[in-house]
Amino acid sequence: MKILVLQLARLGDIYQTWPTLRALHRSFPGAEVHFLTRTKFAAAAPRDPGLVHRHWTLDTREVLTPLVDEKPDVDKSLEKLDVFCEQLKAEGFDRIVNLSFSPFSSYLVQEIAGEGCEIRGYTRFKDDTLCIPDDGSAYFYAQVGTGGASRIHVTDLFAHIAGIELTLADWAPPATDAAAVGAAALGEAGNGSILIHVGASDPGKTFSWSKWSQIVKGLASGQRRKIVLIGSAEEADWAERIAANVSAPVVNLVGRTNLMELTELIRSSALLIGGDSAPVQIASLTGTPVLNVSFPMVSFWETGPRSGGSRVVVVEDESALVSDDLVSEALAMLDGGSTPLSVVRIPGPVYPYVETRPMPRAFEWELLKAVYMSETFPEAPHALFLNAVDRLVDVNQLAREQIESLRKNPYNQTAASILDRVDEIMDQILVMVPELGPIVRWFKTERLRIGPMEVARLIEQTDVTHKNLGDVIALYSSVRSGAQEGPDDDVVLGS
Amino acid sequence: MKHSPEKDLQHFLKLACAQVRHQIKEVNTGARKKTKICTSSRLRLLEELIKEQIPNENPGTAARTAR
Repeated sequence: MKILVLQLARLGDIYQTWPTLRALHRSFPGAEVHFLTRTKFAAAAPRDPGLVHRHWTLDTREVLTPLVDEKPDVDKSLEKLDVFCEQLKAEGFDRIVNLSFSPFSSYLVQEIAGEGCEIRGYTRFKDDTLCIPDDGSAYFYAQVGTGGASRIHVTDLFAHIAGIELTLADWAPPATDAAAVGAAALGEAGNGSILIHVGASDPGKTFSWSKWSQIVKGLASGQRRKIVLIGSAEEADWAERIAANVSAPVVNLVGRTNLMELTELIRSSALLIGGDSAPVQIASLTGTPVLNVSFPMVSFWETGPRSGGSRVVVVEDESALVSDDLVSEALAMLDGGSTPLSVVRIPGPVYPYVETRPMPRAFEWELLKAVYMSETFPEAPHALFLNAVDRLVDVNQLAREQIESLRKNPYNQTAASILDRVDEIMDQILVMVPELGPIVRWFKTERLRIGPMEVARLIEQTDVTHKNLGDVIALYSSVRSGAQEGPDDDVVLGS
Repeated sequence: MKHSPEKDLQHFLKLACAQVRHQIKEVNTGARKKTKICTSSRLRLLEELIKEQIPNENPGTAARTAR
């Protein structure tokens, strides 16, 4: 069996794909697992040939070079893409697992999948519209992202999309590649140090340099372990400012390590402190505890640390966080103690996060579990929710009436036009009652998955999705208990 | 890629993107003959690759951006 796994996102996503690569070998003994990443992030791919039979890279720069001219040479770029696509297609993959979720990757899968290839992850229908063949990718499309309420970790979702289940063994650390690891940086850092990743792929995912300076100062005065700053060359200026602002001795290795060296540093350290970034994902593989500072632009539920003993601190606004509180939390982690600062604790890679206090949007998460995992539907949070459900019932009924009209006359323009407006009305309901988001996004995604087909079948399939929506919302529309209705709670929709 | 300031690079990529979109239209209407490498889906593949490099065309980053 020949399997291709596409991961065209960044370093952190590549590291989060490692457990899936391992599990594919366990689930399909003897399978040839190929891996595709971008050239820019290729260094994060496993080097072990037992894990990745062949590592393919997409060189975006090379493909786009002919276009960077006053007279773009589109044909030349198409030729380069053709060579790339045909090479991959010639491999004759039995299964393609696309873990990239981008439009580009969906078109690429369409181009390289041969006859009989099983596709998981985004691809395209023959008319080029988006095709989401598996339930895991449909969940991703509908519910994952900072706007959503999902609490499924991306690593687990990757595995689900690939059609496998992860075990503890799949989180094994990367093999040490002695040839790629220089001794100098490791010697400076020593064993059992505290690593601090001061940067991130986006400034909104980390502290300002002045805040980091305060934290580093606090750590230096509170214990005897070495404090080591880590990061990429692009973050070197940032780190120098921090180091210069701290009177205590700090080992600054920012921009001085390759990814293999960084992995070894993380493996031999006692604690990593940092925002949502690749080092946190590396630590999940090496089993190094992480104190993860999580900012609003990311969801720690989806991309937080997985190594046992890790904790997450949510930072809505860095000015509201007292630096010494974070220092105390870090020191408590090293001593096996606790402070009230962290919101979740991580027992280990295969165990769910443990909340230390109730987290926001719990109702929507419960609703997601009910819709996707057949768990019990949670009680309505308030009367407005039940009111919105009633409006959703009305809109769904209206839609099904139009579908009935289209059954009789597929060219009924009025019915088609009303059906088109159903989405707009649902969006208005969501503005009023966002808690209904999981249900509406699930419904819209399921309808999108129908894809192009003969008109009569399309009408039937569309009706099935509306019927399924009706079945779900009926659970709430028939049960009015659990919330008190009030005269001001009516959902009023605009025109 | 030719050495170019970021602004120029964005200018070229936007220019290329417009040209690719025009070619997609031509292929779909039959104004341009399809070839093995110049099909609607290949052109869209190239268009999406270009768009990933243009911030306004592709807000956000990494895996969770694109739908």
